[in-house]
Amino acid sequence: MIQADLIVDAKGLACPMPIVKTKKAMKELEQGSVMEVQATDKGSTADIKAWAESSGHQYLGTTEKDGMLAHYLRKSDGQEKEEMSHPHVASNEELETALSNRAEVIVLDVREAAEFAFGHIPGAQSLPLGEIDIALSDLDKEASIYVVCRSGSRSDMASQKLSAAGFKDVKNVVPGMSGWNGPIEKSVQ
Amino acid sequence: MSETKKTTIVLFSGDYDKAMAAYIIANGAAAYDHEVTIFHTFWGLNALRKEDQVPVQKGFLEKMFGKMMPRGADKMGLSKMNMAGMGPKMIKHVMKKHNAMTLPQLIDMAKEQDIKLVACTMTMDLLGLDQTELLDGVDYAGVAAYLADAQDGNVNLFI
Repeated sequence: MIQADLIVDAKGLACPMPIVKTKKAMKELEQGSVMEVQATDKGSTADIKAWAESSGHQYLGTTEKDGMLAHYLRKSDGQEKEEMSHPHVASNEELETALSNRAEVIVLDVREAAEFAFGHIPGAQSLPLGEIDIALSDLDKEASIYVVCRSGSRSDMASQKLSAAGFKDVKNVVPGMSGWNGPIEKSVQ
Repeated sequence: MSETKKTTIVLFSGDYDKAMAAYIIANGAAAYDHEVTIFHTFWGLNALRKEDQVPVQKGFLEKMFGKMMPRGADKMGLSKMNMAGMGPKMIKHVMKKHNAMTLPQLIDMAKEQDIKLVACTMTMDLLGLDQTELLDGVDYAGVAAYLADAQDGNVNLFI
């Protein structure tokens, strides 16, 4: 199962109900959180995708099991802040080169678990930004860490947290997954 | 997000299936955060009629019109395969099976989503319909008010 902050049950409902319910539920969801919409209407995949694109939310993907579709969306106002203040930045290409040279690096993916599930860099560790404080003690402070998210904004915040906690070699990958051309791995079908 | 988009639909038809299509599109557009207006004119006004008879003083022809036209969305017939009222019964049965919303439910949903339901006053006069005979929460306007919404609309439909 993919983790979601809110589950919307639109099973058995016909068009236009899945989209109407999704829209209503989206109002209650917090910025950056992930919603799972369960539906059985076959047209809902195209509907949800188009709706998300037009309303500025991020469509993560859809899984299908026994005729039930689960659509994943992340709430966004479409304009994540662009300012970044972590001093050490790496480009996507630099990370790709480091990985293809088999360098000893940790790739830390700070997006939500659902975003990670629908496509991440092979070998990356999933650590959503909201859980980073709890997991800091499990990481090696001497390691070379590349922090990645979708646009470089959340990874900037995560990089600052890591540096403040005493990590020596932390680089924020910009822009991150939105511009990633390297290999991708999925944890779902 | 950018400025709100507008969808306007003219519902001319008094057929159950056509009105259903209009209301499904309207509800979908509202979910897209569009500002939606449905302008009911001629037979489309029947979708807004109350189910119960409302006593109103009318002339003979208007009374006849009132009797012959369906009273409310649920009583409307189909554009195809109506078969003297058998068609609507059958399609409602199928809709239940597929969990599709009925027309009265779609109209309620439209109100809930703040879709503007407008009744054309000129055709109301022609068909002898009084404001008291139509659902609450309906706006009354003429063609100019519709055009004001439609001229900067992104989606305009005539059904």
